[in-house]
Amino acid sequence: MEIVVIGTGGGYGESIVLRWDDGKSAVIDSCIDPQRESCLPLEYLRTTGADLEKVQFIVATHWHDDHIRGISEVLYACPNAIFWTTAARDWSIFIRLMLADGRNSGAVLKGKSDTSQRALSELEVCMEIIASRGNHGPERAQGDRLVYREKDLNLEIFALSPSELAISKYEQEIAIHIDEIGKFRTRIPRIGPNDKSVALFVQYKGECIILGADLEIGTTTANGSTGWNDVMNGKQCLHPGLRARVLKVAHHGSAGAQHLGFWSDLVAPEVMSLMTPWQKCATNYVPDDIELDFVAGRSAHTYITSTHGSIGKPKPRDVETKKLISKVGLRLSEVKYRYGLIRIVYDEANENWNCELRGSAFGFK
Amino acid sequence: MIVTTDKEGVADIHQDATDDRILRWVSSKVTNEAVVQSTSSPTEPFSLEVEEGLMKNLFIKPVLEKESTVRFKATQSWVGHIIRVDEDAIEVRFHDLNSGGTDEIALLDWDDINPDDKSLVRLGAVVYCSVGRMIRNGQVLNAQITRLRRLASWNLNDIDSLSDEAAARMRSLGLK
Repeated sequence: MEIVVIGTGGGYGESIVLRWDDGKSAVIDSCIDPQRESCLPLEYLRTTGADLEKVQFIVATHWHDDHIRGISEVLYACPNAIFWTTAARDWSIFIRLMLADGRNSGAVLKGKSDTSQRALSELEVCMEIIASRGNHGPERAQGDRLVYREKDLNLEIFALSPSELAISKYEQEIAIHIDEIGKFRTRIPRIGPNDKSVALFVQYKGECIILGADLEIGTTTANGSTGWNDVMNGKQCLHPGLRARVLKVAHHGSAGAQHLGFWSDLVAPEVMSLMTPWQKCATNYVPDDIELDFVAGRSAHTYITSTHGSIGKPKPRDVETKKLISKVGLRLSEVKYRYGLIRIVYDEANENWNCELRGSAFGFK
Repeated sequence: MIVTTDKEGVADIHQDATDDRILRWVSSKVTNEAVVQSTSSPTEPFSLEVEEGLMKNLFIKPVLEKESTVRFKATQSWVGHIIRVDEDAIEVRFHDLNSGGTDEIALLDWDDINPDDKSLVRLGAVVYCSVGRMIRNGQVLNAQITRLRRLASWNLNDIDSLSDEAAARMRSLGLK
């Protein structure tokens, strides 16, 4: 089993590639290099000689930009992959939101449509690809649903989230989103906390891996719970005594995603924690130093794909344009792109995980 | 002179506003490479002719006393969306429309936003911004144009057709 976490500074996104026996693989989320506009997980699969026909499934954990850019390209290139995402129980509600978002791409500047300002354009293309193939519809992820199994390998992959309550709330949110984007023609804003994201639990030859996506702690009410609160209330797929030795830390290590019970009950002391950073706005990024210390203090090894994207100066331009920007007083800060990759490979003989870092990725304790 | 518009884009110009405010207002209606030509007449309404841009069907009631020409040539343009709003400033994540590549975060003052657009400021609102040269009556000015996307709200027909389209998409995906 090989787990590759691709991350970028500056909030351009993250992606995970899983590979296991017989060249089979899966892709969880997608991101792009904004300079070359290339899809990073696909590029990784191609450059390492992966057989794209053996990509078994693709998961769009949620529809935030930093998790879905390029995912339609991945799906298009992988003809046999089953597509999983978080969606309403009633697909038609989710599809209405997707189409509503599409109707907001009216204005065109310099011949370029403003699809960059649409949240769901990638998912819409995915649905078109799935419809054109006509062999397997999209799958809706939910806590305890089996995503993939190979009995011979003792490989099982389950969704840990979203919970029943989170999906109900999601359906209500979608109705509000449709109303808002119809009335104000805005892009769908990010609304927290993120309890709709699809966290995954992977069991492979006795090893336990948790891929936390952007799942946050969530809430608990009389009607049930959401987020990690719901996961900690018990999932059938999580057998007692299981402890993750590999963890993709949820929501970029933000404090709002770190459930204390999760770290004490589901994570092994020797855990290898893998992280990616995210930049919300100029002064708000995760993880900060306190959040990094929290994760590192509970992990045997901690790796992150890069620091957050530095912000300060406008991006390099020709002298005339730079002068003009300065003269009109427009305050701009470039969101730097940094590419980092963490690759860990399971050594069956020694029952160890070996780590390789590329690009701007680094480890710390 | 003061310029105000109603919902149909009809503008009134009052004599007590300054030329500069007119210029700012006109600029806010214009996107890239637009040329605005106004021809005044003391008795008849005049239209602003836009060679290229998004302004359409804009009629301004009198009265300017002499012919004026406003020409804006964008050097650099962005499209982005609002990621933070507070009392002091608005933060926008911009995508570079000239050369692509990395994004930029802009900190805009509320004063950078046209008064007509202020009601549109909210998280997720789409913002267009250009910097360039504005030529007015032979005078060259450095200018920044910031405009929020303004599209008509959906009506009942739009909502109905959305449901129809969703049903068709469901069928094509084999979903029930």
